[in-house]
Amino acid sequence: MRVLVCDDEQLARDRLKRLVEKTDGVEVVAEAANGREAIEQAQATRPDVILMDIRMPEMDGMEAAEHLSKMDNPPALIFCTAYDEHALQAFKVHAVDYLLKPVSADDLAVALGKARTLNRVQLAEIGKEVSEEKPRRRGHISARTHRGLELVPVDEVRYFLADQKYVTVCSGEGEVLIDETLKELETEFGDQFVRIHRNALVALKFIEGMEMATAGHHQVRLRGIDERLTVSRRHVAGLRRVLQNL
Amino acid sequence: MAAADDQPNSSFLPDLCSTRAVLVVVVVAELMALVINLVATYYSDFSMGRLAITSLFVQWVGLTSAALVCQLRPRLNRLAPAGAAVAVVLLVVIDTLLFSVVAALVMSWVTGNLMPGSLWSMEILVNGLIAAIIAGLVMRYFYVQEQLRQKGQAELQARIQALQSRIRPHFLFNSMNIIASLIAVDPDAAEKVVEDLSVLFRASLKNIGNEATLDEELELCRRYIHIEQLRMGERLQVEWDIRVEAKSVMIPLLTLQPLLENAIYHGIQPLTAGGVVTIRAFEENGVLVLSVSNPKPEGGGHHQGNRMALENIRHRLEALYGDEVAVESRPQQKEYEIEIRYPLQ
Repeated sequence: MRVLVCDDEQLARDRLKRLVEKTDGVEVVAEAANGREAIEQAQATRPDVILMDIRMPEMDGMEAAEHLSKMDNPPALIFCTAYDEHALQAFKVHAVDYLLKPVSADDLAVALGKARTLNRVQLAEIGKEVSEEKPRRRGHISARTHRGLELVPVDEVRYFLADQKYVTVCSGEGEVLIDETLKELETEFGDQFVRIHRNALVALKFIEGMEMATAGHHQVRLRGIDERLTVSRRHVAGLRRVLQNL
Repeated sequence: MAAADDQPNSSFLPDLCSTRAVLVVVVVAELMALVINLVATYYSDFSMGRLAITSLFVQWVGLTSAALVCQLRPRLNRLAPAGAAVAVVLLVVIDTLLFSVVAALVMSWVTGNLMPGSLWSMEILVNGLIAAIIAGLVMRYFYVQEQLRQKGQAELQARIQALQSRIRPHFLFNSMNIIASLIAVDPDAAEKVVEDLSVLFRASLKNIGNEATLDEELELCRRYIHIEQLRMGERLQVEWDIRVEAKSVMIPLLTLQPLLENAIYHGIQPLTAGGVVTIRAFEENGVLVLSVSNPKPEGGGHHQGNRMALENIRHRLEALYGDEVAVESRPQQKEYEIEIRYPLQ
């Protein structure tokens, strides 16, 4: 069985590695220092199990779990945390197991055993519970592309544009497609994004200004991209009010 | 006397010897005389002479009672509250009866017609009854006030306690994890962590309101930082800028350490690259200035819990150093700074 160890503390990783490698038939294939790295490593090394800390910089373990569940054949998750009663209560069901630090060798062996006996279908079920319940705001948007799972920091998203079936996420880096609805995105990130059209949500902090297009409608200029986005007549007044309050 | 200290809950009688208390007694007595005379206008015309006589009598009883209670206060406070209250009421009644008799004698001497029957007249008993009621009310007032004071004190103590034991459980278990990690690879370092942790927890279990030298507090901070640095490695950098004679400056124990803990928890941990926590101490016109600053992660990590911790620190400092204490948080563009000021003793 192949294991990925994810913790922001070097000492904690070292110890988990030592414990894991004492178990027969289990090897550590990769290490990660935060949720983002864990996702990259998971895609590169395809582990069976991830031992995941919860409180980490950049992306915490809970959010990483959510993104990971979108992978084909997602790895089994075992959370390890020092003291997070609430998190444990709320997310118990979403992982194969959760362990308390300092992790005891016996508990770890039991958890790894559990992960081994679960089949892919069961694992996928566990993953689904994570993705269905969105407890709080994500820091990243994840999209499945031909390159695998791609992560876009929400802070870098310029706008979300709804098409027939998908939503295009445009960031400084390029565009990806996700299958979430604008309505969901608006609920989750309502304080960072503003609706300017039935099909568009725009990042407030990238808005440079609103102007009149030659065709007679309003449009917004966004920092870092040349494209202008159309503001529907219905949203002009609302957007103007928001911009004045910035 | 030690016995008095053993029963702090019955010390509800205030000190009636102080100038302020005497003034209050005089004013209250005068108001009472006024009330009696106002009530009397229902039955006969208002008379300045009667007001003067009543005032003289009530003042006389009030001040002598206060003096008696003042003298007997150490003994009275050794009784249970109910006992002390009854004793004071009895004292005031006896005092009133005594002066009623004296007053009757004086009056009959002044007017020149000795009436032997008037020595135990109805009036004297009425005086006694009024005195009992008023003294009872005053005792009740003192009792309620004392209860309020005790309640406030208890709340304050609870908050101080909460603050002191506020070394986060997170920190305890993370430290245990470090020890577990180090035992196999670096037993000496593991041993050092156990020592540091013991010192920190011993300090957090010490009596509330304990004062220590700034030097001792800084030592606790260094031990705390040592553990956190093992955990976070290069990510945690600390700058010490101590420009006071730390051995001669006093500070309530565990004032700076919780600030450092907050700075690391909210300011350094969320940053992948980490950052610098700066601790400053200097003197400015007889005022000690302590400050802890840390980088401010995007989205600002400091919230409600932090404000409460600052309130707690302010209360503890005010309890020791009076009103000239300032505890301020200063969120800046990229930094978050907390500054504490209090007068140097």
